[in-house]
Amino acid sequence: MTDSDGTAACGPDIRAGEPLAEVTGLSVAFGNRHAPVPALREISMRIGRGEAIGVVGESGSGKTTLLRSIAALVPRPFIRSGAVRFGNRDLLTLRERELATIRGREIGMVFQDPVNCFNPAFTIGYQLRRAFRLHRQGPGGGTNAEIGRALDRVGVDAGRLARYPFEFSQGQLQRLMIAAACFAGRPALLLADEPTTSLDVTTEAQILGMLRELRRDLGMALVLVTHNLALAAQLCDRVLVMYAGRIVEEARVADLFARPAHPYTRQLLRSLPVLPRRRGRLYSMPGDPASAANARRGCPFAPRCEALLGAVCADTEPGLLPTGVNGQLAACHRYDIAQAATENLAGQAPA
Amino acid sequence: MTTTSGDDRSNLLVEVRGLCKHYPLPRSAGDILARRQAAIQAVSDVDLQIATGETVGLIGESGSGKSTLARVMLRLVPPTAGSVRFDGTDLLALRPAQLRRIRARMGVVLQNPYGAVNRRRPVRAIVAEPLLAHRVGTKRERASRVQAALEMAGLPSGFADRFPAELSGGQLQRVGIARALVLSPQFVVADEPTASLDVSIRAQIINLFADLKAQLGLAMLFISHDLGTVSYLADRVAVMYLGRIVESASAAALERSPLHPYTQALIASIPRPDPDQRSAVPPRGQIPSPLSPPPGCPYHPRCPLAMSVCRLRRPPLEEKASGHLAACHAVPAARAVS
Repeated sequence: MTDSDGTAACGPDIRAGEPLAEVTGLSVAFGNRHAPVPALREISMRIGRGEAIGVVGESGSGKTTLLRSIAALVPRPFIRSGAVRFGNRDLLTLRERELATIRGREIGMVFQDPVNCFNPAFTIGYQLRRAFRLHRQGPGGGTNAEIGRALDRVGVDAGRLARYPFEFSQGQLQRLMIAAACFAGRPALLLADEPTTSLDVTTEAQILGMLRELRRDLGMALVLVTHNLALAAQLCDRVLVMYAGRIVEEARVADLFARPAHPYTRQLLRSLPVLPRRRGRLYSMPGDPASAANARRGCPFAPRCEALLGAVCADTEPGLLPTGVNGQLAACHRYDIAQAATENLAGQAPA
Repeated sequence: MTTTSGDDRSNLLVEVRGLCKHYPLPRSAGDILARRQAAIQAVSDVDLQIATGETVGLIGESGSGKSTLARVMLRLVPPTAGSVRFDGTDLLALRPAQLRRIRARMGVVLQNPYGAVNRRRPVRAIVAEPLLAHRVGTKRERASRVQAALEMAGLPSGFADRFPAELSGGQLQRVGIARALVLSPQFVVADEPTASLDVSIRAQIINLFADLKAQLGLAMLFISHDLGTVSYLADRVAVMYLGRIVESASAAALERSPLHPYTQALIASIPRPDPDQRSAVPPRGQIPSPLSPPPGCPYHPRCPLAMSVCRLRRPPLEEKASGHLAACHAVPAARAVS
């Protein structure tokens, strides 16, 4: 663990203003010692109480690995360094038995494909009852009345508990997943990995509205992993943009979309086929998304970057630097040069 | 549909009339005695025309019948009723040998490039497959056509000897596009070709289709659930709901002034990449089962404008403004669209 003082400083009680969870210096590499396949490099992030954070990136950016690390679901040998502090515990040092009392109870999870999250051989009622009993500390969890109230909140007819997963649409299964994640325990943090990617736009909009309401009513913090910048815009307070296993930009949601600081964020926003249709040809970024596994010397985004500064981009990897606006951070060399560059950039932000 | 001039007819490449595709369900003894036959009505009574060089976008939720319509149009599955004419020839009347000949003039690009290719074969063999199936050219001619198709799809020559596992999703989708183009088709069906791609790659593929359309004068049916993607490519867009086309208009008109409440709901549901613009209230409920479509207008259970007539009679797809068709009782036929 590289960051020991961060974990040592925290007391048994969480004072107001202190983060709910904090990731410090997290590096993950799969594969073995002789042939490591890096997935995350030196990730640090704070999740405030009740805060919604969007983690945006393309395939291979490491966003799912980050989410799984927060739930301590990445096998221990692959964690090369770092800590995931939740409350006063470092999740990466806990035993499986202790983690089992946190996952589901204090940290809820929703995955991309709801169909594979249910066992097709058992009724929905049976599976929900199990989840509710498992995650309730005291006795009396998992009554039909309690599950019925949860289903009511997510808009599924409680009379259908005796049905099997195949009798539900994908959207309904995702609602059931969310019911289990939010109501089986009392999670202070909900982790959602592309929760609407396999759904239609209309269902997506419904789920989006529902997540917004649940978060408000239950005061849950949310980490939403998505490739869809629009979802982060709609649901989150703060956004982290990932590229090749690193955070390349971090900003409040309004700042990210009004003044994207990293060239990758800017190019990504321009390549969205948004409505109303912009005139002329859609902008498209050259090249393929990079992953941490095939990292190169210098800035990993340099081969696709349209705002290269010169040799420095090819030679050295930039650190995550303040851009000078509202705590916005970006991993780009233009921010280590001068304040003048920052002002110049703000003028270039797309309309 | 958008152009009403007479010479439009001569340009017509694909013409679909009254197309239905119903999948019968197994019957119980009671059903057989009562002579009942339940069926999933995947596509019902669809008319669609595509002119040479025209791109028609087809949008709708999953289960709306988009892919089934595409399959019937290529005659990959036979329709229950209706006709499909390709360049004046009725596809349904053709014998297998004739059908094979006409199929060489059509191409198809599928959604999931990983599932659409044989992973054990190099790219050049994957792309050459249609040439072999149609017994086109000598070995050397085939090699040069594969090369040309890969170039058109934006893959440098080095890719011909690679295997699918060595390619990214975007590159593999380009292989799928090269394969669709290798026979120099006049008509290409693209079924959600960008749905499984990363944001930056999706823009590349949208632009590739735009270029191919301009360079080759392809007629295209571009299926997507995302109106944003479709609006960058299509000349005209048809919206499907529960097996029927409920609205059809030029891409610009559809985006600017959608008439059908379903289309309006679809557009309003698209999340905007703008934190100040909260997405609108989504439509209620979900698409009903095509097994038992609701009586009257199939959209009425979800429609905010539903009137009593909507529960009784299905509205016809009629012209509500010049070149703008919609199937809705609540939209007056004479309504002018600016």
